[in-house]
Amino acid sequence: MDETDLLTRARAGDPAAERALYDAHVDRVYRLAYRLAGSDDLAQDFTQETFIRAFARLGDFRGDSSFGTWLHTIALSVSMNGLRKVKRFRTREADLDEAREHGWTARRAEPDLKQRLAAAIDALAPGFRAVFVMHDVEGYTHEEIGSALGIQPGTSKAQLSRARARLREALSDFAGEWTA
Amino acid sequence: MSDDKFDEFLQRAARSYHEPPATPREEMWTRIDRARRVRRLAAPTPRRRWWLTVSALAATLLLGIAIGTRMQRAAGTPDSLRPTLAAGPSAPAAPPGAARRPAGPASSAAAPVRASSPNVAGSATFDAAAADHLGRAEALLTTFNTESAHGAIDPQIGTWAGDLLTTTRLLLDSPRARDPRTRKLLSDLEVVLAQIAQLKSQPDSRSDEFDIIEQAVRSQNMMTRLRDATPSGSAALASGS
Repeated sequence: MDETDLLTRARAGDPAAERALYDAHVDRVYRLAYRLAGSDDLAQDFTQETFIRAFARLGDFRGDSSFGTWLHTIALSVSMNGLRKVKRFRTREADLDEAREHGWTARRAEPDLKQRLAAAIDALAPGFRAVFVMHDVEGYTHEEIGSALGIQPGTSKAQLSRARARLREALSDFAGEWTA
Repeated sequence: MSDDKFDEFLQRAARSYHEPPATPREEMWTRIDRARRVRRLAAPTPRRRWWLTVSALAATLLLGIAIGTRMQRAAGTPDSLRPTLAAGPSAPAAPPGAARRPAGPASSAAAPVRASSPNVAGSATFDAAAADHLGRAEALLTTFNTESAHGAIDPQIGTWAGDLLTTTRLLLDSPRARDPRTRKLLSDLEVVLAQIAQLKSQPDSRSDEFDIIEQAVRSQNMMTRLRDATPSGSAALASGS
């Protein structure tokens, strides 16, 4: 059964169709949520909320884009808003979290490349980070990213380029790793 | 150093960034399913919406009558028996309207206070009614918790919840319901009561439905909020009746 049929049945409240749609898309949604959140609890929360909202608004989905793209628009909105709230909460909660926000600029004692890279990605602006994670980490195309984030594919390319430039600057100590 | 080399290196290295574990499909699906059922229960169906509207209208009428009766009773109390309404030496001068009242030793002094007494009496009546209602709701939830722990609830609890649901709506619709904390408590209570009332039409309700309701009560700290709201209000009720 193709996705259009599943969507028609899901709109009519068929639980098996809803489950089939969930099975078809949950991996990608969860992976993206996890990559952005870096925590299983948050990734699960974001994924659940994405599907709850998607099923509740299934009647609004007109099929202008693919269901997967539409779902990713919801997933990104849920994840980025959720992370913003978590960040606000953590910032209020402890100075320690603030230090971690800027971890890569405050030099630590010989952090390895993985740690530095992770800290540098964490420190990117949310929009840049989403584009970088989607393209370079999860392999989305600029067209998919553009649709999900509501931006032009060209803007996605430009943001990726700027994100990479910032990462390159942050990792300049490790230049030997990629020039070798 | 070449940009291409850096980009290749970056893509390779970034794969380890927040590397996700296997997707916990079933766990998440169970929670999605549960959350959707709770939201469905909380959202009124057209039939229930109609029923709630009619009940709310009827209840508003009853509340209006009750408030009116109570205010009339308060207004009819002899001035000498109402120390809070009697004016002391520092009482403000009587407004022009008071001069038209028959002359008497206490009438001119009591009049200005009486002008505001319906508001005071109305608020006190609302507070008392709300406290009484919240006390009953607490009793219902306690009974529900006890019975659901044994895996089955008495169908009467559903009927009881339905009655309380009507009163909750009536209190929420009252213009006296101005305190935001009370309004929030009543709104949260309304959702929980709607869920319990729904059980009465499903005598074979499963324990996971009880869990959903208990979870809602727990997550909203409902019992503590009800207990906090009850004592002072009960006192008001006792003194007001």
